[in-house]
Amino acid sequence: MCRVAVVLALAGVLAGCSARGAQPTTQGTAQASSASAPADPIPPVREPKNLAGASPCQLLTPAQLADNQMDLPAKTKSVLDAAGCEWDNKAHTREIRLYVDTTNDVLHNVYAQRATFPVFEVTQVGGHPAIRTKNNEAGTTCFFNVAAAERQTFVVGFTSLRQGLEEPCGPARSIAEDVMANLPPLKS
Amino acid sequence: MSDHGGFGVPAPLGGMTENLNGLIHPPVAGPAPVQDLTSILGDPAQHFQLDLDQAPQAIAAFRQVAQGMRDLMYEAERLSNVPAPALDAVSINAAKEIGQWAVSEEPGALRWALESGAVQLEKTADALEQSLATHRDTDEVNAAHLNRPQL
Repeated sequence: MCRVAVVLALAGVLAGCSARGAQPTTQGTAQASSASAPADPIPPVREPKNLAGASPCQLLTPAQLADNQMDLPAKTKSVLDAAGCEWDNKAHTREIRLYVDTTNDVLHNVYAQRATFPVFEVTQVGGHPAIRTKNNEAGTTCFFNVAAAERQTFVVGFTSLRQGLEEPCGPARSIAEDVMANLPPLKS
Repeated sequence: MSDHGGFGVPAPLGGMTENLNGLIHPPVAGPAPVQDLTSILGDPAQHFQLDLDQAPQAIAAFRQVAQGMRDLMYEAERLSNVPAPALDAVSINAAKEIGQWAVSEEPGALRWALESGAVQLEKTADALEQSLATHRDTDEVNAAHLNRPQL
């Protein structure tokens, strides 16, 4: 019995080691200050904004869309069960997509999958916790998952078309900041 | 009895069982076995014919399929947020496996493959557009040359 307990304890230690192995570097990730209770890598939302009931295609103003060279009508495009929107331009140089999740704790779920992203960064957008990801290191699409409030997240994706001449994460961040600035405060 | 066989009949090769196995088995690491589309189109040893009148439709079709692949890429991205339907170990592990399969960075994994596929299709459309423009320019130069009065 004692031997079984020792084996199980050792297996637990080994599993813990392998689960923590080979993770990408995360800038802005809170570092654990002590060995006891690790800090939550996703900081809390300080000034919650309201995403519930928002129509994704209304989350960017016509002026912001014009600044981003979007000159085609917005297209409603849900992503599985999440309401979303897509914007394109006639020159076919850029594509913006956005979807809203008001059910899941998206940032913690994405953080749990961090080892599977070649580009992963815990960051902030407009003072709100966010995660930047890319599917391929040299990929032409960049995603920002931004927490507007607890279990209220929007995901912005920017794709650079025409053979990826434009680095996609700069515009993606700028668009995410625009969306955050447009959201009303969440009234408790 | 249907043409697809009944109960007790072994599944034919390439049948549902094999397809399902292909879907549920995790992707194997390593380079993708297929040659990428742009290298095929850009290879001078490869020959294909495209009716110039049909080229714009072909370009539009490549772009449309690329957009469809990006639709799927966003869905794969969102699959990483699939919560377990119940708290039993099987459900938790299934949700974890689906998430891993959907978002793994390895070549052949769903999200990686969808983005790469969309990029290749866009590049192909760009290359066709470029070829079409070059061809039209050459035609115009030739036409201008032919219309020049002979001395």
